[in-house]
Amino acid sequence: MNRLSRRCAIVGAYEHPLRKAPETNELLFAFEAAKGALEDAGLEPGDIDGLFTPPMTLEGGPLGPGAALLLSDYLGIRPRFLDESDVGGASFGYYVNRAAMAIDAGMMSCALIVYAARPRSGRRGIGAAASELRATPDSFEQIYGLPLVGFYGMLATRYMHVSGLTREQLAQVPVTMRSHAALNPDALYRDRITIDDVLGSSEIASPLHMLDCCVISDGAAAVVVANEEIARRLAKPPAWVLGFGEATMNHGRGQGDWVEDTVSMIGEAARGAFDMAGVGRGDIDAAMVYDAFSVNVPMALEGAGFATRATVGEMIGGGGIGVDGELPVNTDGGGLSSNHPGRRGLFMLVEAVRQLRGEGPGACVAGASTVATVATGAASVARRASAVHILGVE
Amino acid sequence: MMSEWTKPSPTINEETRAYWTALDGHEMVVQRCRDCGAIQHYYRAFCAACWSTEVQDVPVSGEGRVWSHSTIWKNRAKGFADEVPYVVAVVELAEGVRVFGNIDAPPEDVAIDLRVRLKFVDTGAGWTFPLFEPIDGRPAA
Repeated sequence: MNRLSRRCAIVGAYEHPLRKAPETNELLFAFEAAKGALEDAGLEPGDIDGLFTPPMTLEGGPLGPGAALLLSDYLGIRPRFLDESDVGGASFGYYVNRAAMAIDAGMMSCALIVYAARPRSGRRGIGAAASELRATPDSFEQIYGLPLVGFYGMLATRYMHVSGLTREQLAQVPVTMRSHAALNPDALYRDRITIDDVLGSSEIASPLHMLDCCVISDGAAAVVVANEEIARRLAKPPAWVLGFGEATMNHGRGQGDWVEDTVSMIGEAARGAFDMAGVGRGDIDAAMVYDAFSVNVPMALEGAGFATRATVGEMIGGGGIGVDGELPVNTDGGGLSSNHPGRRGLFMLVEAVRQLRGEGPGACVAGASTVATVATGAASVARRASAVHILGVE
Repeated sequence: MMSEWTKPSPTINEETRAYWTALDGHEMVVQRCRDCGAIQHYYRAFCAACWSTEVQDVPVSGEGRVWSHSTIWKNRAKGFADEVPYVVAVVELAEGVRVFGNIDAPPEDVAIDLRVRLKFVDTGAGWTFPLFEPIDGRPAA
């Protein structure tokens, strides 16, 4: 077992209940999330000596590069340790990892990870191409009219081709997420849907339909990651970071295979996390999987080793990722139904903590003691990163 | 061909200019490293496999197969909003590199392994657009 295992814990977690927040602004929204996480932990602002937040651009907001220093100033805290690594929606997993390493190195004792964005109120089209293309690599790609969803459409086309996953099995992903959202009063969309509803919704980028795509919500969340000493003296049970791993992929000089590279990237991150944690796939009681698009889920389940390429369609189609299934996935309704303002990774961590405590706003997996999160994010197209975490109670 | 190019134009810098100049001459080039032999796309001033700066242009045949594809039904971006549905694809060129492109064919005719070849469209905006078209309209056996 790696020495970094169980050396820190998520001790506070808060997801803002609002999915439409037209009356506020991003900074105040972030403050409310941060306050919620600190109160959940039973800590004071002065306890925070590390701050992690992404430089927001695609989903709007006032904080570009330099976000961590600017947000420290606004929040009135003076952390020693900062990070604003940007790997898209997986950034928050990277922050947990950097917090764990900084805590282990004695650089920091208690980190705040915070995110707030309002693309729904700001009417921002996530994933639309910029009007001015970068010489490299955009000019070689975006001249063809490749919105973000177009990449996932191509990924889905190829993955279905090599795996035999059927369109109906893929549709079971948003259907299942909606069934979880139906139980979550905070979720953006709660009306149950069927496979026919998914296939009958307007086609966006084949084979993906509208209901294969995540919601665009306003959203804010925060978690507090603390060292062992702090974690043990707080009232709520800590969600120990049992293991973590991360990995990246890119276009490989025009010779990358997006399907194989995605699966092996997630596999590499998952192997790191499971090896560090010293637990197996069968020990996982629930998984939070980054579901920007339906196709993310089967690929992540295969990559992380929860299914094989041959079995993943059956697992999903047969109800295996439902709250009563063999591996409940995204018990809050996920990005497909609950909350996705541009980057989802932090909401996955919050929901993992809630499951471990048995205090989710929606469905709870009885007796969950070990939960995995499998996040992917991107800079553009297939320049992607993955972060996998195993969280557990003692 | 068309009155005005309303889609985005590439930003061309000194590092990438030779790629776009080749397209103006109705040729697509990839690059081969003189030191390690690796080929690459997109265009760079060095070999991204070994970091040698000894890279040479290799004109491609322009023939390849669709590696994956998606029909875009919604895109509000300027120049594309009126063009939907259109097909974006990754084409595996005979030389072994995968490039992005559009397929000039009805969406229902496009499938993985469809054989395609390049044609070159004068945008009237000072650069040449590489466009794939089916070779015989049928996926390779």
